[in-house]
Formats: sequence, C-alpha cells, structure tokens
Amino acid sequence: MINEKPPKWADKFLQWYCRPELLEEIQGDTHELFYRKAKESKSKAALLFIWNVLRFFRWKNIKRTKNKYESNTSTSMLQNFFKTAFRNIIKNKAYSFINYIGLTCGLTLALLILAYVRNEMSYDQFHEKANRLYRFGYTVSNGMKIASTPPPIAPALKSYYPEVEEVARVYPRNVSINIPGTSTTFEETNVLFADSAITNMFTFQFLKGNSKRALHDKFTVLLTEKTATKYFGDKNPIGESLVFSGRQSFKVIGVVKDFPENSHLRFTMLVPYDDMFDLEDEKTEQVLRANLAMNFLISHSFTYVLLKEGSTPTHINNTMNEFLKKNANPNLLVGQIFSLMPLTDLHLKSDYEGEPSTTNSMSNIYIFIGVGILTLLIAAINYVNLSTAQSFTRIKEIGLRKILGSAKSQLIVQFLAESFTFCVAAFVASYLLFYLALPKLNVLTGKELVFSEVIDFNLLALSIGIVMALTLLAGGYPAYFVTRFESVSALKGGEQKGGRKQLLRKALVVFQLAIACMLFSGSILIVKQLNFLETRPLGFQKEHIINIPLQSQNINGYFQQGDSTFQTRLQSFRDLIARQTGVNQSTLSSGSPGGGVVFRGTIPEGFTQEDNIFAANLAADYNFLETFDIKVVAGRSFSKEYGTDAKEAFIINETAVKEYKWETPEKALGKEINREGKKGKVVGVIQDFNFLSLTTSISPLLLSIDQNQFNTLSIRFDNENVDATIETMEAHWNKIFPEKAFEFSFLDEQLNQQYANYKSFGLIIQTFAGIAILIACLGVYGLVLFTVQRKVKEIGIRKVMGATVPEILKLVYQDFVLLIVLGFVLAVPVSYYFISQWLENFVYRTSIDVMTYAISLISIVVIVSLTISYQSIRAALANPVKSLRVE
Amino acid sequence: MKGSYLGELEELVLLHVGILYPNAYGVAVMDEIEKQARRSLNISAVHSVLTRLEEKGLLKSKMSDPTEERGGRRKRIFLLTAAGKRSLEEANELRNQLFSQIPKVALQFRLA
Repeated sequence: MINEKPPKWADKFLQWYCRPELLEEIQGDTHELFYRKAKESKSKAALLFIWNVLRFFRWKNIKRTKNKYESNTSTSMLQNFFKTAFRNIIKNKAYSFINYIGLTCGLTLALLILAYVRNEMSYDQFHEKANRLYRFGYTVSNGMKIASTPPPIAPALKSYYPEVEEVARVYPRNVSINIPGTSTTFEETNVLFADSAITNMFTFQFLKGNSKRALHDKFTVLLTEKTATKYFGDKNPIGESLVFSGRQSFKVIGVVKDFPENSHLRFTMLVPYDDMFDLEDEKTEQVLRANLAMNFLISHSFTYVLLKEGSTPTHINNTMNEFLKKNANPNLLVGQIFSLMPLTDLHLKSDYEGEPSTTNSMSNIYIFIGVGILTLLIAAINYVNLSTAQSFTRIKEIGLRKILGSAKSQLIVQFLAESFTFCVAAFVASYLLFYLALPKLNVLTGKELVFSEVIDFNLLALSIGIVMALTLLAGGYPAYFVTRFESVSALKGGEQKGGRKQLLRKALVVFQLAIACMLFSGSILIVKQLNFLETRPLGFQKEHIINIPLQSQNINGYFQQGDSTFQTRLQSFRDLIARQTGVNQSTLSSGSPGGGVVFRGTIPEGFTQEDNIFAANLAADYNFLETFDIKVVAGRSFSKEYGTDAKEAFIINETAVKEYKWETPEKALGKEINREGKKGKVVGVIQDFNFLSLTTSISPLLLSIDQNQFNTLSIRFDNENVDATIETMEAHWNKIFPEKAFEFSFLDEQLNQQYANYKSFGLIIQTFAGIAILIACLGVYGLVLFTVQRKVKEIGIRKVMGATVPEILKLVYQDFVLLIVLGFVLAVPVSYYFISQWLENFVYRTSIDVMTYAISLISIVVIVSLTISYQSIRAALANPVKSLRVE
Repeated sequence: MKGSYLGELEELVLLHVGILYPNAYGVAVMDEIEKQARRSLNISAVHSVLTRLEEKGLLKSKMSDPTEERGGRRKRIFLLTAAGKRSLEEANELRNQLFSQIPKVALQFRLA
C-alpha cells in the first residue's frame, strides 16, 4: 500500500477553500498525481502536490455562500423561517403581545427622543456661514455673565482685529406699530435693530425687495413673511409705510423669510441699528447716543462676529483687554471680560443670562439620549428574556430541525429572521405612534416639529440602524441559546443544561429593575423639587395679584421719560379701581417680584468706585411693600410724607446690609448709596424675598422710586368673585385706555412659568419612567411565566408531598424580591448621583431623603408582585395531578 | 449558455475526451494530451477546461466507482454529449473545408 501521504497542510488548505461539490474530484486528481510521482521521488511529489493545490486555487473552485448545486439559505428556506416566525407569533399570543407592546413603546420613545434631540442640536445650523459665526458674551466684574454687550465694541473691532470679517450689533425690543391711516396699533415684539453687516453674516432669504440696500438707509424696514401678512394681508408691502412709537414713519423695502424655529434669535422686523435712537424724544435721544457710543460697561446689544476663513476666536479672546485699553475710557475699565462663543453652541452651551430665547443644556440632552437608550435596552432585554423562555416550548421543533439536517447557522438565521420580523413590525407601529405622539411632544417641549419634516433620510437611516442593532441584540442571544440544545435530549423532552443561562436572565432582569428604580426615584424627586419651588414661601404675597404691562418695553427700561398725560390717565384708572369692591391695593414698579430687576453699578457707603459693586435694582412705588406684603425689618416704607423720598430714598434688603458690612439693619439706616449718579440714603431695610427665580440666590437689592421706570401695574384683590372683579377692571381700563387692550397675568402663574422648562423636563422624565416601568414589568411577567413553566413538576410534587399554597408562592416570590432588592441597591447610587447633579441647577433645593427611596422600593415591589401574582397563584393552585401528568 | 465558439485548447480536450471514452477524467486527459500532442498541461488547467465544456453543454459527467489509487475517492468521468460530438464534427469540417480552399501554389515551398 501507499505509505507516503501528501503534505497535510496543503491538503487541509485545499479542503478549506475548495467548493465541497468539486472537492472529491480535485482532491482525487491531485492525490493520484502525488502517488504517481511519489514512486519516483517523495519530495518532488510533495512539491508537485503543493503546486497543484495552489493552481486549483481559482475563483471557480473557491467556496462561496451560494452555488447552483446546493443552497444553504435558499429563498424558500427563508420563506419558511418567516412563516414559522409568523405562526409562532400567532400561537403565543400573550408572549407576542407583551413583546410587541414593549418593543413598540421603546421604539416610539426612542424616535421621539431622536426627533427632539436632533432638533435641539440643529440650532442655528441653517446659516451658511454658521461655522465662522460667533457672539460675544460679557462677564461683568462681579462675575455675572450676560449675553448682551456694550455697543461701542462693534465699530472698533474690525479695524483692530484683521481676522474679523464682519461684526454687527443686534438689539431686539418691543415697539408699538401703527398702520398709517388706521387706528390699528400692534405691540410688536422682537423688532430687531441691527447693523447692516448682519445681512452678510446671517442667511436671510429675501422674498421681496433688494438685499443690497437692506438696513443701509435710515427709516427703512424689512418684514418677515409672517409680519407682512399680519399688517398688509396679501397686498404687496413694498413701498408701504409703518409708524413706529407714534413718532417716526418707516418705509417697507423688503420681505424676508422667517427664521426657522431652531434659531436662537427670532425677529418680526429688521430696522437699521441707529434708528432706535430716533424713536425717543430729543432729550432722551441725545443722552442715549452719547452713552451708548462710549459706554463699555452697559450691557445692551448682542454683538455677532464673522471671522475670516481659517481663523479661530482664541486670539481675540486672549487680547480683548488690550483692545479695551486702546478704545475705552480708563475709568470704565473695571475688569469686564468679553469672549466669543460659537453661534451654534449658544442654544445648548450658553450660561449667559438674558439670551434672546430659552436655552437648553447639554446635560439635559445627554439625559434624554441616555434614557432613550436605556428604554430601548429594557425592551431588547425583554425580548431576549421572553424568547429564551419561550424557546423551551420549542425544544422539539429545534430538535427536529437539527435531526433533519439543519445547520447551526440556519437555526441562527431562523431566530434572527424571527426577531427581524418582530422588530420591523414594531417599527411600523412605532412610526404610527410617533406620528400620533408628536403633537404631544410639541406641547411638552414648546417646539413646532412637523412629522413630514422630522422624517428625513437621516432619521430613516438611523431607524434602519436601530432595527438592525435590535435584531442582532434581541435575536442573537436566543439564537445562540437554542443552537446549543442537544438534539437528542431535545426530542426526548429532557432537561437542558441551563444553570448559567438562568443566571444571565436574572442579571438582565436585575438590570431592568435597576433602571426602573432609577427612573422612578428620579421622577419622584423631580416632582418633589418642583412642588418645593411652587410652595416655598418667597417672602412676598403672590396669590391674588395680577400684573398689567403698561408700555412698550424701552431700551433696558432705563431711559424712559415720564409721559405726563399717560401718568394722569393711569392715576385716574388707579383711582377708579381703588373704589371698586374686591380690589385691595395697586402699585407701580419696574417689574413685580420674580422678575424685572436690573443690575446697576452701585457704590454703598464705605466702598469706592473701584470695588465695582453691581446690585439688583427695582423701581417701586410708595405702596409697593404693602401690596406685596413685604415685611420691614428696620426703618420705614416709602412715604409721601417725606417729600424727598421720590428723589433720594433707598430701601435695601437684609442681604445688602450683610454684604455692605453695615452690621445691623438699624445701623444701615441713613447710610449713603450712590447708584450711577443717583445719590440717596437708606430709609428702610426689608426682609429678604426672592426677587428672582429660585435658581438664583438672594443678592443685595435696592428699591427706589424711579417713576420713569415704572412699567408694571400690580393689583391685589380679594379672593372672592375674582372673575367679576377682573371684568369690572377691564371695563374701567377700556374707558380710560381705549387704544390699548387690557392685558394681564396672574402673578403666581407668572412665577410658576419660570419653572416651565424644568416642569416639562420633569414631565418627560416621568413619562419615560412610566413606560420604562411598564416594559420592565412585562419582562418580569415573562420571566415568571418561564419560572412557573419550568417548575410545574416541582410544584406538583411539592403539593403532593403536602406543601401549602403560601409555601409554593414563597418559592416563586422570594426569587423576585431578591432581584428587586438587588436592582434597587444598584439603582440608588446612580440615581443619587444624577439627581444631585440636576438639583445643582437650583439654589433652593429639596433634600434627597430616604423616604423617597423607600417609597420607590415599596412601589416597585408592589407593582412587580402584582405582575407576577397571576401566574404564580395559578401555578400554586393548579391540580398537581394535571401538572404531573404532563409529559 | 456561453457562446458556442470552441477554443483551441477546448477542442483539444474535447477530442481527447472522445479518444479516452469511457475513461476520460482529469488526470487521464492530461496524460493523453501529453502523450499525443506533446503538450504538458497543469491538471488545474485541464480541470477548468473540462468544467467549462460541461457548462457549455458539450460534455456531461458522472462519478465513477471509488478507486484505490485515489485514496478511495471517485473520479468524475466525462462523456461527449450529442452537442459536443456535433461541435467536433463542425470544427473538423470547417478546417477541412478551409484547408481545401488554399491554392495549391501557396503550399509549394521553394527552397531558394
């Protein structure tokens, strides 16, 4: 016989690459040639063999997935897989339903979050030069960060920094606008006074008119599409005129498209920057012009900068000091810092006050993304748990498939096909739910997302990605799991080795429960904090008070001149309502508590200009303290008996006493204060109250009677017949101010509005928590079903041996209670970390207490126990004869 | 179906499959070609021509009984199909016809 054998590795290589149906003849030929040659020389034969093997290594002979002789995954096989998948879904309605609901909810949530997050991240990207646009942020010497900057920076910047291509100031304000020849007057918000360079920086789409002269000529105005329709309907607005503040006529020279909803800056009209001075009377105009031309301290306009291609803002940020030294009066250099922030970062990363629109934070975005992924994960885990549990009922099917020659890979494909079917079906449903839920999301977040716009290529691509990932994640493990069944014992119906898998399944459930606990305790704490904010005593009366805005918001409300006829009319209105039953008092201010303070340079006695103290200022009328029930600690309230109060009296809060080192409130009385030139004495000290939202702490506050700054009328009334009281007030108002609509808002609602952002955040987290808990419960249900099924015989035997129902229930329950406790223990530190991070937003915050966690633990235990009770009680009550007979 | 054009090597292999009937398989064809036509081919080249001819429908194949010389493996025995026989005839005919058209003069070589 033949003793020599061809080189093993070459033979192996041939077997490895060669198509199985060709292997026999090729191997035969090469071996035959080898043996023939081996008779002459062994080494030559080996070389020949290797050579031949290499020569056979051609495309034609190489294995591939599909071939004409035999197909591993033919379409008919795939059809069969989908068919069995479908039959399985129908057969196990309960399982499938649980799974389907879980997956659909998870996916819908993921889609909603995706839509929201993408919108939040897309802010200001629509400007063509977005990547080169920056805006200055202003850090005042006391550390306060303000979004608006002193106006004289802009004109000097371009010549000083060569890398600056364009720079423009933008000042948004309200203006009363009248269509000439009619009595219609609108209080227009967000009228933008802007330097003409802005048209070269931002992307404006001109619908009508010429973009070249935009913002160049005095007294011209550009309207947005919406505003144009509001004032002129379908008529062509070009060439028409509008009267601003009853003083100056402006000619409409163009119409531009409204900025999209994801812009940090919104506007209704565009007007040349310089024209804002012309809306004031002559005296104010002069003061304003002089002040704004050289004042490097006052925060006024937003300053946008377009850098040249390839430049970074670092140089400017580092050398602004030199710039200021060169351009500003040395008296005004008090350590203010200006730095550029990328335009596209403003919405999510700005921590400056007074942004033109509400901002969001990256941490919120991360939380949303995290919660979305967690929810999807819970849903996927459910799928894994339920399908592995269910696969025990399919042992026979799998066994038979294996016996009939199904390869491992085919079984894997089968299970993946099943989970794919499921995921796709869930996805279709989730898109439908997404469509239905989108308006709700809009309500929750104040966005204007439109389904047809949200669904774009990227979202679809991402969705497909998620479906694929879910298919692999959810189908992969069950597939791997069933392929390891021993086929013979599977057919016999014998027990499968599964100790470790049981462990994994338990670990997954623990993970799910941990997430549920986390979200649950988190949402409890968020609700607790919001309640805390709403119920915390603020130090003043907030119920039964309405605020009426009096006039157009002027430039920072600073330079307003008293309009004597308006004052008389206002006084007569106040006299009228004072006599009205149900009305308690009324007072004027530059903004009721909770908003409206202006930070101004202040020199208290014992300090100098160099100390750079900025204090919150509120202009308040005589009976301000009485109306808002603010307690006086020392001294007195403003009083008409002292003629000098209107000119030189300050009332300060206790914090001011402390900060200015005046020891006691009593000692503070009579101290002098110089506020931007207005000199006065302290006449009273009041108890601290929260004049800003609870996200900030109480700082020194100065009250003074500055009539020209009053812009809010606050009326306190009794708690009876509120509607009637307000109706009568409205009648009075309309008699005296026929040209202006009666607008009012309740103070407590206004105050709660400050927390609207947090509230919607809380609401979103609560919704997520609810859904996550629901899905987790579904998972637990699946697991208990599995446990009970596996323990049918054990339970039967135990019952026969005399176990009572409670004993058997204990058997099922103790496992789960252990799992919950374990999940809870894992959840507590994580939830504690995140919640304390979130609470950092607030200066006044509720405590993270043991109670909250106890409540969430007990709730989850109860919810889960309820979930598993049906199956476990049924198992415990079952007739042992039946369960033992099952084979 | 690929074009019915018959390449030179294909024709050679086809002829030898006919010659070796009923024992034409890879190694046998290779040996026979070497013996008759004095052309040494690699087994893989013969193999790919054989499968190509089978794809063209000029050959058919069946597996033989296991043989000891190949370690118990079977051979793939190739047989001419009717189409194969016809294409051989056509090739032969064409060649004869063309050859007969060459003027006698052209075939007379002068040595000078």
